[in-house]
Amino acid sequence: MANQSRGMDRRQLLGQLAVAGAATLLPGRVLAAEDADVLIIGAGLSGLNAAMMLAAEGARVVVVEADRRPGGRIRTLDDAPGRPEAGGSEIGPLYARTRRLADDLGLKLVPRGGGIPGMTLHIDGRLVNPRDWATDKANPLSGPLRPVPPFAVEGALLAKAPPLPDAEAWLTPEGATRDGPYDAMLTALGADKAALSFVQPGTDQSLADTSALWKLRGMQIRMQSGKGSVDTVSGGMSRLTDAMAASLGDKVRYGISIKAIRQTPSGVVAEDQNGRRYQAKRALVTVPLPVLRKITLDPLPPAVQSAAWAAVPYSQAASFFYPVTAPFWEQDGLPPSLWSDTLPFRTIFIPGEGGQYLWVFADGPRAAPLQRMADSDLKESVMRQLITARPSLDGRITVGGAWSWTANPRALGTFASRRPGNLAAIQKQLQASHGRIAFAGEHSADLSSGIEGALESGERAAIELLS
Amino acid sequence: MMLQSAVVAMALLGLGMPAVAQAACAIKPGETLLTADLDKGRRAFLKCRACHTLKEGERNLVGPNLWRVMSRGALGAGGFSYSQAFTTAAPRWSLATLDRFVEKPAKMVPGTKMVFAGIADPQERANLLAWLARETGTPLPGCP
Repeated sequence: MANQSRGMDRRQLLGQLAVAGAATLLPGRVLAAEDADVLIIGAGLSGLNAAMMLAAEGARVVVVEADRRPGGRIRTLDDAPGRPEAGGSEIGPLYARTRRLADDLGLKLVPRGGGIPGMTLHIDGRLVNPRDWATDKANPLSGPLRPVPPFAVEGALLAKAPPLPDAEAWLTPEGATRDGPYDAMLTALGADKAALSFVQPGTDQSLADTSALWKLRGMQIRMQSGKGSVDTVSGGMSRLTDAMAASLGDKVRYGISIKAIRQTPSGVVAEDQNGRRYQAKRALVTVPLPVLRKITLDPLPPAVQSAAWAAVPYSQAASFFYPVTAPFWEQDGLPPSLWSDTLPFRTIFIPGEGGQYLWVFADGPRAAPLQRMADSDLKESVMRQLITARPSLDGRITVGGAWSWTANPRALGTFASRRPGNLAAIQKQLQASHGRIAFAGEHSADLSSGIEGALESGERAAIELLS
Repeated sequence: MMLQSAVVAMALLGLGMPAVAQAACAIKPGETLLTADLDKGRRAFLKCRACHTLKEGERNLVGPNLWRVMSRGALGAGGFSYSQAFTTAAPRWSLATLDRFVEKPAKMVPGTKMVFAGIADPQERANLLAWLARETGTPLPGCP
């Protein structure tokens, strides 16, 4: 700004005054002279995919994004050492849309690299090799679960459940017979109280308030994928959403946070944080449900629809990243990742393309204070806790990036989960249009989850809008 | 191109599908004779295109290339790694077997890795299959 000429400054100022004046004096006037077929709210994977499909079919689309960049919950921390992924990073073997898009956009996929399997256990302040867990004095597990390390207990229990027959089974009446409180299902599969204590729901809900069917759905998706390669985008996941947005050119507008959408007989009028208005024949809202719940809709959606939006819980989490400067695991002879019964987070070793780092993932109610702010004090304090738990880390990790989706006003959580009951009915409402407003987003996917689920939902909404 | 855009915009207003030159034909995938609309079939294929290419020699994606699918065996795409479920349960393809498959893939081939719930509407399947047959080099009899 300081380098710009005075004339430029004055022109900008006059422009802003004109906008502000018009917004206050002429509230009925549509300022942004858009006349799009579809106004898409959110430039994450679902919004961008829908926009690309609609534009390819000749529709005029405008995408508005609250952030200054595209991607939504895809976010490579490009400025942090090791270039860690704060958001979605796993492209499964059957992620057809993701793989085709990456290919079409000229991006290269590389194996994500799971690193060294297993996790070191940190129990009552002691480090325990998972190999020695079966005979450890602090092991509270009994029977066939006795040798199973805490981080693998949930998987071992779920493996005993008959899998859902196919990807759509969770939406059928037969699927509904498998629903109920998650802790009850795990108990029926042989979990005692000790085993349940090692299962973390990730959300602020208890296991009893988590849907068993939703967890079976997740397992079905993982099992169907088989043992194929889990990949990521070379150069970082953000290269995918950057390329999607670039393909749409100036159809994507940034820094526009939609606060209200009004429907008229001929279209929709959306209003942003500055009172600017955007007009289109239809709207497609792709923001996460906690953000959607803050948008004022006129007319209001039917009660059954807003009830469904309110019924979906989101995982809460923050991530901290610590670049690894030397192989600390060679010092103590233990697996690099760490599972702790006292620290409120899991620590996962990631051998990323941009370098090796530890990913500290703080989810669930125990980690609530960490989720609200991922600032530099917290980065230091989490690192100190890590080093106290595992002395070999001292001098072999450094402070890196941090990110909280819970604290991010454009996400307000990581991803959608479900409470027990009515999953098919809720799903129907999550996908239902409200007049001229259609809805998409990861939370509304039918047959896939994560990155692929987001693309699937955008595709579904685009096809609906075209028909 | 501009004309097409304008027509699509009308469709978005709820005025129906684009009125471009109608390519239609009568086909009988099951018990009923249906009039297939090939342009609507092209639109229906938007549900399939993430996984399948159409033209001769194009790459296999997560699903196999579909060149001449109407006249080939279920394992007919060269170089594609079919699932065990497919190798045991999938039939030789014809208009009738593809119609039943696309209705609900997991019903005809339990355990298929094809992640697709299916198309329940017989008319939409007819549109799709008539268009697909043409695009993959084996037009249905009586169809453009």
